[in-house]
Amino acid sequence: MTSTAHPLTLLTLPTEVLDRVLPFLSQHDLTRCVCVSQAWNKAFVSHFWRTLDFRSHHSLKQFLTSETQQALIKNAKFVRELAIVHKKLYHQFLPSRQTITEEPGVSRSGVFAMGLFANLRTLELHYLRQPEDDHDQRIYALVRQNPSLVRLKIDVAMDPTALMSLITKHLPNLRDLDLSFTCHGDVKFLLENLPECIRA
Amino acid sequence: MTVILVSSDNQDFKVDKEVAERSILIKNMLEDVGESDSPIPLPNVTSAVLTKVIEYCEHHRNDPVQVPEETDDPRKRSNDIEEWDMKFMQVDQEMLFEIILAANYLDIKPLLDVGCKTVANIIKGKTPEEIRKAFNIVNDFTPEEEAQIKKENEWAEDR
Repeated sequence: MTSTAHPLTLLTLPTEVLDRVLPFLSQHDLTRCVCVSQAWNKAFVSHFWRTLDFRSHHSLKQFLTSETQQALIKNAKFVRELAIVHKKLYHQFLPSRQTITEEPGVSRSGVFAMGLFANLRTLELHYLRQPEDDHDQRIYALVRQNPSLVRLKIDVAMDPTALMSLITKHLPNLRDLDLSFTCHGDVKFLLENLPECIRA
Repeated sequence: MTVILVSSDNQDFKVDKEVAERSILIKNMLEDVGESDSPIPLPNVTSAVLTKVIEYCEHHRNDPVQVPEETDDPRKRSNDIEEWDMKFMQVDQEMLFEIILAANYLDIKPLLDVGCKTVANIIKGKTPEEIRKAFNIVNDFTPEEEAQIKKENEWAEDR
């Protein structure tokens, strides 16, 4: 506005301006933005990690490299939306049997889901057609570690009674529950007993 | 009815009230003072920028008030800028940012929106090097750092 010695740049504009530019950029655009400079990296990195969604196998392969995994641990606090859509990702994100009882943040045998996603809002669990025997317990452990969840979508067979207790005890902020294919038991029981604030 | 807007460099701009009220800031100010013909000082906006902003408001004086769209998709489209706005935004980058800043300050949502879309369109589809060129940014990463970041983020690249 009044001319200053320093010309305006995208990053010197008020932050709400950048926030308004961001929705127009794709994840792909953001991969470019974080490489531009230190300052751009700082400005864009939280948005880059905001949504983790893997619809193509190619990106999944890239995602499971050790570089990306290290980066994910570093940036997990930025993740707001996580969609677990492949069996491989379940191995990656679900706490293993050994880690379930351990401290949050402890990473062992490639599993680091415990308590890292401090700001997770949306969690989608899809397509686990042939669940392993302990997967319920592991999914519960993952969900329990993320009390910030607002939206939960489950497309996995789970026991409704246990799910119900998980939701009422550990997810105080949950507002939106999507049970597309879910429970092999009594879904009706679950729907009838949900707290009123939750939209199912 | 007209109102007088005064830019930071003390120039008077006489505009129709209807045009000035495209700015929610000015609209609220006018409502607060009631019937009054005292000039409205805009100490954050230069005459060069105010000229552009008024040009935009004149052109859009009869637009209906924008209702914010509710969509599930957080990603928005930036390729729907109308032709007049596109031409209007063909200014140098300093002016583009000045207009955005003024639109933000004056609370003119549609203008802010067009400005942000224009910026997004400069970024979209470009390599990091092309973005640096477009915004005149110096690459201050070491080659090792840059390679590291590329590796970390490769999974999100379109192929």
